[in-house]
Amino acid sequence: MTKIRTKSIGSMLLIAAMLISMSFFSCMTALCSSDQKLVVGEVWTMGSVDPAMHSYELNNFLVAEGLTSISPDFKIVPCLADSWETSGSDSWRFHLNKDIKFHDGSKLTADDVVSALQRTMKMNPSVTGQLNIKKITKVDDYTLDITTNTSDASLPARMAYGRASIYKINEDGDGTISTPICTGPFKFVSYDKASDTLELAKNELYREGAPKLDAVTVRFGIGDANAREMAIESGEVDFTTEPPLGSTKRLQGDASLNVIIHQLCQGYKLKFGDVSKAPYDDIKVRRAIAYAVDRESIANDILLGRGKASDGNALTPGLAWRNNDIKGYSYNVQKAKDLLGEAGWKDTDGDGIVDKDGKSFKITLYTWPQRPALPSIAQAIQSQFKEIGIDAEVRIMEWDAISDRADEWGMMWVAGGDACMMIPDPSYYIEGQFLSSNCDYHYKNAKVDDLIMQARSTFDEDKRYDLYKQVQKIVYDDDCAQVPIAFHYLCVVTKKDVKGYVPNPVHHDYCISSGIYRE
Amino acid sequence: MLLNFIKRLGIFCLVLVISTTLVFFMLHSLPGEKAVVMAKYIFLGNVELNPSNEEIQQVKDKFDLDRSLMSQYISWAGAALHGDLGKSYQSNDPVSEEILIRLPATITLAFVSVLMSLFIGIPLGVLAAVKQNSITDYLCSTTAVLGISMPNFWLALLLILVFSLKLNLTPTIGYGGLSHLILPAVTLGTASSAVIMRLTRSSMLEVMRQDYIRAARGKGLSGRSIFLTHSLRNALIPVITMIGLEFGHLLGGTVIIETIFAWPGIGRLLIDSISARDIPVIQGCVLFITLMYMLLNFTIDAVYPLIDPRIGGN
Repeated sequence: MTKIRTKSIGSMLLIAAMLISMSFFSCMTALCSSDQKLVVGEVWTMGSVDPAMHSYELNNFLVAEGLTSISPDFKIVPCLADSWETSGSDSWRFHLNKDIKFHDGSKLTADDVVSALQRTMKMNPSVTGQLNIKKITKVDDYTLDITTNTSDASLPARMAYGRASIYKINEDGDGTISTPICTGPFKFVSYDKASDTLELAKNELYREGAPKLDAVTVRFGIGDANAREMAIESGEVDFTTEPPLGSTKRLQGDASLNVIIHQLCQGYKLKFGDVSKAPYDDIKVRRAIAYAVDRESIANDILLGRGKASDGNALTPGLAWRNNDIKGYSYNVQKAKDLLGEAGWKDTDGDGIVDKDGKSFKITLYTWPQRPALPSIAQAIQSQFKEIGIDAEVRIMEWDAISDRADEWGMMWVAGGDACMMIPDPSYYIEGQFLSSNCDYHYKNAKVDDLIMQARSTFDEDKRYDLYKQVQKIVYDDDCAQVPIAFHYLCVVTKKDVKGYVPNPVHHDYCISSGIYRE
Repeated sequence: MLLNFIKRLGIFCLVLVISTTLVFFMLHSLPGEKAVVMAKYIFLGNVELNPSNEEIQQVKDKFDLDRSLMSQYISWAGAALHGDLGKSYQSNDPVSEEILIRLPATITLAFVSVLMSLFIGIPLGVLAAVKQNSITDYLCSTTAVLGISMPNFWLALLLILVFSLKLNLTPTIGYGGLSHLILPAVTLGTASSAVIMRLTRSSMLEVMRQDYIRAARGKGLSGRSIFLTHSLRNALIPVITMIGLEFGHLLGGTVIIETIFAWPGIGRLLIDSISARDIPVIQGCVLFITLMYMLLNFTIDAVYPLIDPRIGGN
């Protein structure tokens, strides 16, 4: 009896075991890679390839190009347009390069530029706001005029923005584009929505010579840092970014990989919930907080080499419009304590927390989980605040839930992803952060507003940048409106034989370079 | 029979209406005003930036968000009744397409995981019950406890480490051939195998203590016939219910596993849509998941009489 029973169970187990082992061995597929082929493992998802919605990604992977582009040293350089000039206070004239060919071999003309930009702005309102374009008109086949909504000296820089890329209008029946035809070094081959995978091939017709890689595969949506790390280690992808912070050292020691850590126009900062209300309406309190942050220890112990302590200015070092003479508030606990004392915050009841008029300095530090370094930075700041008698509680929640709490007494954000070069021009970041009508934290300085307005309509580059430098001096040094903590560096991991990657800190988060090849 | 069917259909519709209504109204209690969140996705493409007031107003106008919640719900429901689930405002694609494109990945993964839990859970459960209190039993039970208590994201990473990195047998991530399916399916299958195994064991033990088994032994039936027609068959009823639940759960998506393996399933679609307040897609997913649960319940109910004819009698 028992014998039979065990036998049947045994055979069932055997079948199960066979099934599993069969499936294991059937998948011993060698991951073959042709000689000049690159597989990229990308963090974000794509979803569709219509350039009206996704030219940003197409631009980062060198499929689509704009009228201008931006070099790794932050200079605006010609791309589809050879040259441009202002033709009035709110109008710009662009002269196209006459030798540009689309991936299908046809020539690029002003008509293509006009219709592509018009289509993008119609379908993707975000671009409309970011480009500030009112009207685009063709002058002749290779010349066009762009009129801006307001007098705008930054238009040529805005045209380098990935979302302003130019493409051919080859709509399907339903009005979308599923086969983008652009002008870049790589051309679109196919896109599979289910696996979010984009296949590209080299553009033999490219005006500066075909790229060295024959093909590029981009696998979007590998959102998990551990998964990306293992994908690059197993050789499933040849190029990926942002492995877990703690793995940097180990990957650097792996002989089969290259680890490149480079500057990016992004940072971490402390942001006050409301600078128009107590306790942050008092500049002394804001300065005390700025002095209390030990930026070096955050950069060294938390960012582990993938970042650099801020010198007091959140704008990326190297930008032409950056004010390098910001004094900043370097770590000084005593100064912080003194300033708090001067502002009336003293520990009268001996509990280690400063108080004023019976109110203890107890606050909440909010941050969000998507950027891996943020919770750790918040915890470090929490303990640094303790030193000066501020009792902070760290709370990690979704971004939108945090912005609902901006009214709480003393709330503060530990913010990351603070991108100052989404559009390669100072106006974008500085207006967004410090123009009083844009400030969600109620910062208002008439002088700053005035300088920003002047800069908008100043077309002389040096004078214009100088105005923005004055703004930086006021907001960071004089007003201490925000507290920059550190610059975020991008970590790129590639297979050892992937050579020729030239970092371009302007792109978010990176842009492959046409010089990449397999050795 | 027909009456029963109509009754069930009625309940089915009621559940659909209640679940979509609940979700629709619950979405409004999420932190962050809907129009603001949508404006971020539409105008800025970045949740870490703040949209301007004009941008927020534009979103309100375009999606008619200034209307009362009730009227918004009614217009959604009206269109849905006509089979129009709307368009995702993020991708501009119809919701049905968004779901359909992820359907094969979701169903394959759920099906293979459940199949795996059947093939492992039931035999091991039976074995443990038959050999109660033996080494085999302890071994099986310990493994099951381990399987249940291991966090699945950890198991997933461990499996990738061993099978992809060390042994180089499977791809680490992505969606494609059979080879991509193994690790996610094993990860999900492990926990359900453990659940199924424990349930099978306890249910089997219970059945084996029943009088009718003793009677069967007494009348001299062979071990095989007692096992197959009496004990296993009766023990499987709760197991089948559990399998239905597990299957439904897996069809609803498993966000963490889908994220780790970059698997294009419904779970990720739903979570991404919730953070973007892409209401049509969220509602579409909820409809789909409810539908799947209901269909599974139907199927399970249809299977019961095959195993236990007493159930069909009612």
